[in-house]
Amino acid sequence: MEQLLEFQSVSKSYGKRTALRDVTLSIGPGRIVGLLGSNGSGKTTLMRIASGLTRPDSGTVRASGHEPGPVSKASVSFMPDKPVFESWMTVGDTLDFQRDFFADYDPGKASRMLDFMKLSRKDKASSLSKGMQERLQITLALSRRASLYLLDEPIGGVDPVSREHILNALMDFYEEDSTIVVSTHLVADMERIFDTVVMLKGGGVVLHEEVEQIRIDSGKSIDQLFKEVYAEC
Amino acid sequence: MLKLLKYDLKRDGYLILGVAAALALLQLFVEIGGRYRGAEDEMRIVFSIFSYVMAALLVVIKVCQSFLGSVRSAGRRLLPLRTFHFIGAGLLYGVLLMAALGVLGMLQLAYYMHTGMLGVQNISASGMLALLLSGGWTTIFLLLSFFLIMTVSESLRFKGRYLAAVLIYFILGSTISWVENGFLGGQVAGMMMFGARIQNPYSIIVQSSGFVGSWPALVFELLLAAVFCGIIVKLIERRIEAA
Repeated sequence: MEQLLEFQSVSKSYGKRTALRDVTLSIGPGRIVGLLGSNGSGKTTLMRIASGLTRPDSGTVRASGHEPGPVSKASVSFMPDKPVFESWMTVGDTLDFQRDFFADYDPGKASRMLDFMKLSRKDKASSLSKGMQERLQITLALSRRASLYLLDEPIGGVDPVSREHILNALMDFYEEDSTIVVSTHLVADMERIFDTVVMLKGGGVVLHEEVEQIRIDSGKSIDQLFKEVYAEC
Repeated sequence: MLKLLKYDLKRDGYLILGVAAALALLQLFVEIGGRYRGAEDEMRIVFSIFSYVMAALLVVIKVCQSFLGSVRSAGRRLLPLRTFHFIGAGLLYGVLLMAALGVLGMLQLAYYMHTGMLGVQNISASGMLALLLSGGWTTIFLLLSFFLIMTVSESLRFKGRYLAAVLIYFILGSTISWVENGFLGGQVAGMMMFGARIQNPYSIIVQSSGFVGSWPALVFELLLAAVFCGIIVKLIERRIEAA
């Protein structure tokens, strides 16, 4: 079975600080994967490398079967933790931008998502509240029929109602045969949607396991396990 | 590239229209106000040229800002495009805006010719084409040089990188001039390359002889432009991360 995301001995440092240390990881299709870790554990760096925004110092990466670059970017949909749209754009402009550059953009899905997220095409994107901007970011990412979705902290900094709404959107609009990798440290809110979890600590992978298997083996929820693993962080 | 250009134009549309309107109003003010106040023809022409130079400077700043914005923007860097497309879109944007400025300038020139304030000699279709090519190439080469300096500056990771960029700019400019003057007889890009020159404010000679520069000089500039592009692409891909 072809893996959608493969990391082979990937390391990345920023100056003296190690962000990723010898990470080896592979994720197949049709999964919702939780990428868990405390602040500074390397989640964002891993996602940025997978999306092609950051180059690793060493190791090899394949996303959607290709090295990160123009080809992989056409089939990988990345939602960074900061707004990806330009400050002058309206919500409509941001969607038109997606349509113009991505062949897998689905206008019908985008329209349904706009309704679901209660967004208006006429609203100026930068004037939206934090929660609504997160909704827009999710809409932009999921309006494509990508094979791999990378969502970096999609519910970070939003109120519980918006969190619920965003999670419901994730479940409703993701493609069955694609894979979603969601990074978060808000495990309790999100663990219900995960099939697999990957835990990062100090830039290295400390756990990569099926959620059901973890529950059977340890008798704990992912949130409880997370708190144990990161107790001293 | 054209799609990137579309969004650059959409973003800057009001600013461009504003600058164009301000430039047109300024020309009217210079002509009508100048005549009313009894200003000499030369003074009005010089003031007019000065306003076009200022507008061209604004264009260069805006295009450089746009290029740097693209390089720094995660939204643009996530697009399934090759890095070269960002350079191409920036150059195209600059050439387009300069062309628009050129059209306004040509209209002004036609007005000066019509009123007898300025004489244009030996004007021909091939001469005009040569002038357009010269202007286009000068714009491309200038912008590419600025893109290179900005990219180098962005790729440096120490305090004072902007100062370093200014130094690099002067070193680069001096080196190119030295090569041009020392080995290529001083005949390189710009107005001389395709045979158009301004003799004095009253007499513009547009020669129709086509290419009057030396082939080695042209090849040198083309090679230099290709090297600039290569360096910019490598630096963006390897050293500059989008925010």
